[in-house]
Amino acid sequence: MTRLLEIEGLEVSYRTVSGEIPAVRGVDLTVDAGETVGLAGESGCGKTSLASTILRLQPANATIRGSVRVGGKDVQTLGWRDLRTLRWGEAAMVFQGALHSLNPVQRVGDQIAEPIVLHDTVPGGDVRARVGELLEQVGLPPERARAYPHQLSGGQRQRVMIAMALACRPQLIVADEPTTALDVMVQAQVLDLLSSLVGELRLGLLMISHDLSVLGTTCSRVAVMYAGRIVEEGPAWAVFQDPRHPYAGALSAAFPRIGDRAARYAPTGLTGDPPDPQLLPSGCTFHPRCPVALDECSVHDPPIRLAARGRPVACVLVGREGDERSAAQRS
Amino acid sequence: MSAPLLSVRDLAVAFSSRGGPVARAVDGVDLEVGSREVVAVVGESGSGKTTLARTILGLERPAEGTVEFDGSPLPSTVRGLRAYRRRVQLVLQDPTGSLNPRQTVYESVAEGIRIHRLVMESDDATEVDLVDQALTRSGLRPAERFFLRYPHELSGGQRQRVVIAGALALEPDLLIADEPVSSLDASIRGEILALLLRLRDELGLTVLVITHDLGLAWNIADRIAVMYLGRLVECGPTERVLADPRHPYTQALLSVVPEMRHLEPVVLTGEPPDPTRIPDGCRFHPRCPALADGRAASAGIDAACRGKPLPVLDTVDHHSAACWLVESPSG
Amino acid sequence: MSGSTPTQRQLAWQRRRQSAGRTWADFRRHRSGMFGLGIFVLFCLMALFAPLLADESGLDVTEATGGVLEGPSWDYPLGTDQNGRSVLTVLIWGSRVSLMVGLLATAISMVLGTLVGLASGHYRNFFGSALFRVTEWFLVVPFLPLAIVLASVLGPSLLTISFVIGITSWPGTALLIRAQTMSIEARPYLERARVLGAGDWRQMSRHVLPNVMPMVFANTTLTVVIAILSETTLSFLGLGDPLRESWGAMLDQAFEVGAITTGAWWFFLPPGICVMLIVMSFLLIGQALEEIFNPRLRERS
Repeated sequence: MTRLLEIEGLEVSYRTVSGEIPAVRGVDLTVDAGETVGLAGESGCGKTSLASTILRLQPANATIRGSVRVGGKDVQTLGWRDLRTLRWGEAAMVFQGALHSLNPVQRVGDQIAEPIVLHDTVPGGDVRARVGELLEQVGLPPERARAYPHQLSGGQRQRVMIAMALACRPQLIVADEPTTALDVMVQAQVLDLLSSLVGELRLGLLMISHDLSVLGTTCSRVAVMYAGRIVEEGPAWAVFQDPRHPYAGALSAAFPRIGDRAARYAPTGLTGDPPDPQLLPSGCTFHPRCPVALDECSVHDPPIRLAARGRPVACVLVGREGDERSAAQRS
Repeated sequence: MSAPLLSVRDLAVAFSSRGGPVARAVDGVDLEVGSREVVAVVGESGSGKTTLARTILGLERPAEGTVEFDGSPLPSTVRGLRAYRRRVQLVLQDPTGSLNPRQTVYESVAEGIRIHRLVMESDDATEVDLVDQALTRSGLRPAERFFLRYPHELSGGQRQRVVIAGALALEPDLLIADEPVSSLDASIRGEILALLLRLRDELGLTVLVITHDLGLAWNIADRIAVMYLGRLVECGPTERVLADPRHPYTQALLSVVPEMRHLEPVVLTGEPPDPTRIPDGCRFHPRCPALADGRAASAGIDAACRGKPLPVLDTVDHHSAACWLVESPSG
Repeated sequence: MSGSTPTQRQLAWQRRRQSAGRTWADFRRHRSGMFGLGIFVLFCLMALFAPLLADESGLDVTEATGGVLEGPSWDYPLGTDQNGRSVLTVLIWGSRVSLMVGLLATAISMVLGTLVGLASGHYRNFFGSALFRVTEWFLVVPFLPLAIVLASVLGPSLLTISFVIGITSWPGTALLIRAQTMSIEARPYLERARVLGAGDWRQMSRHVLPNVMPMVFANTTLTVVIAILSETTLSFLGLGDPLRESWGAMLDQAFEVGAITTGAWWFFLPPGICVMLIVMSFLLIGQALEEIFNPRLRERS
């Protein structure tokens, strides 16, 4: 089992005029070939900062501590030439918001061809044929290469982004909110496509989203992120169906199970807003919004407890009167 | 049942680009919404649901058909429309774009009050009182704290509440919410949805929600109407429609909702079709799984699917579906 | 119970003053902008205090006491012109004309351009397209022939020049504001205003105009530049008020008496440099304003 991505103790903070702002505060994450790993989190949790370090795309004022290894190589200390080879050749990203990530005045075929030409992966060969091959791989007719982004639908643009990511045959793909803003049917098509690509090409896929239901059903493992840290991790469906951390519970409850009578007229959500990274709450950063917070939660950092094998949870309530707490959560 | 608050009959709205084909965004819709009801119109992009909402608001002119509110037809004069705006209001999808970045929260909420001179109508309430009341009702407490804030200083959820407050300030009877939570973080959706329900319970507000999210409909809607390519294809009480969908499109939509794991996902191929080229017969037939897998043929109605147009769906009360395969609407 | 409405309005004004204060603080950080502003202020002071800086009688040709085209000396720091007047005196008094015409013409142009631009961008009916056609017509009318015709018809005076320049420079502004108006009107908050019941006037004045103002400011500085240069050109061509000296008129006279060939640099260099300086000052201010207003928008998104 090749380990494609290994993040250890990652910390990312930004140097600004108002001080050092911590975005990622100690994260471990791994992705192996053929695996789909989900990273669940909302705006401000640090997921985009984390993703940016994988290809060393973080902004200039970012300070990185810890290690990010892609294919065994430390991305942050790679030489420039090796980094260029790694970018797109070993790991690629599918960015959020396809409409804004594509150049509106360039045909999509040319945009897909760009990394191929830059990496010279088809030496002397037919770049156009490769572009056609990629378009077919993502379910688009090769003639669509001549289209401009605005002539394509949202789903088609997302497929183009995926084709672009696959252009130089990477092993690892990082997809940042790949289905946000897509209709549910188109979302299903894109997710199906990603799963089949992972299977066919033995890719490793890191999917980032705030939609825990999508991650729960397409990933094998999911990690839930809040205020720069992982608060729960485990098998995707288990985390979605039976979350142990109160925040994961809230994320899960945001997508009601259709057919569950208890969810009728009972929309559940969290009060308050995600914390400002400059003013993180003391103790457990989630405690101001936590429906089951205890007094000690505002004082001590939450310990990482194992709710089950391979289910680390950063909550003091895990393992303690388990039934009582999960009953409180579901009420 | 008492007279419905909103009554839409045979509505058709068409757009024509210069010299190009005519797009019939809404092509025959009957819909009734009773007082204090929460009705969800569910569809994908291209279904015409937003156009339907805009026409009910008087922002688009119908090509055919009527819209009646509280027994009277939609006004066409400027003065008539202005009076109409007191009773029917809108909450848009993107709360960030919906607020003028140069206006404070106070000014944004006071806008409607000033336009309609509501202060003169009431005996003792000042403008400040009315703004305070609207903000408090939409959950921003204490309201004064928000008066002088600008939109960019608020979180997404707070912005949406300001937009809702602006609509509430006019004390409307009907609130139309177009994708009210789709651009908000998952964990705060529940709060906004709960607010809409509370407004129905406490203020007697009638709510028409436009969305592509079936889970949202399950959470808050009394009735659900599924829209495809300008027509309603299925309509009825939410629990009945989502527990036992009759129309193949509804069945497909439901099956691809991520958490519906127990259903075999029917991923429709192709793109949502073009309102300028509406298929003959049943407009869903080119993508219909029931036609493709032979169920229609074995029921002997496949010729009808391809050639015989369906009547406009009758949506009063019972659970009905516009499909030749469905025998008859249940009472 | 909170205070009465006037109190809230006062607070709102206070808030606006606060944000104006912030803009000023941002501007102060721009060295080039401050430099430009400094030069502009200097010229304004020069124009305002002209009577104190140089005796007005020095402009009277009949009272001229200096020699013809004499070089700089202690009595005449910038030498004399062909009439024996002190070039420095004429220069100082000339700043009044140049600035006044420049600013007046800009005011005409900006007001007209903004109004027409707003209206033609907002009204999508016959009225709006009519305004647009009018804008286009004025855009293609050549500046100089129109200026000459108008000057001869209306008689050369400061007001005429200001009017001429204003009339010929407003279309550029109008087109810009129109494009910006159309882009703003597509934004959701305009739709919200319409849904709330706002009429045309309210939409334009409360929602479009405030959001168009940054562009109006940036465009104003450019327009001032054009206006001052235009005035200089017109005066140089002899279309200005023959009784009032401006920098352009000085250049015209310098040219006519052959100051360039005789090397009387003190006659044509100072006015030319003054025009350059004031133009530069406005450009620097405009650049600084643009940088200030843009990051603000970025920060908000």
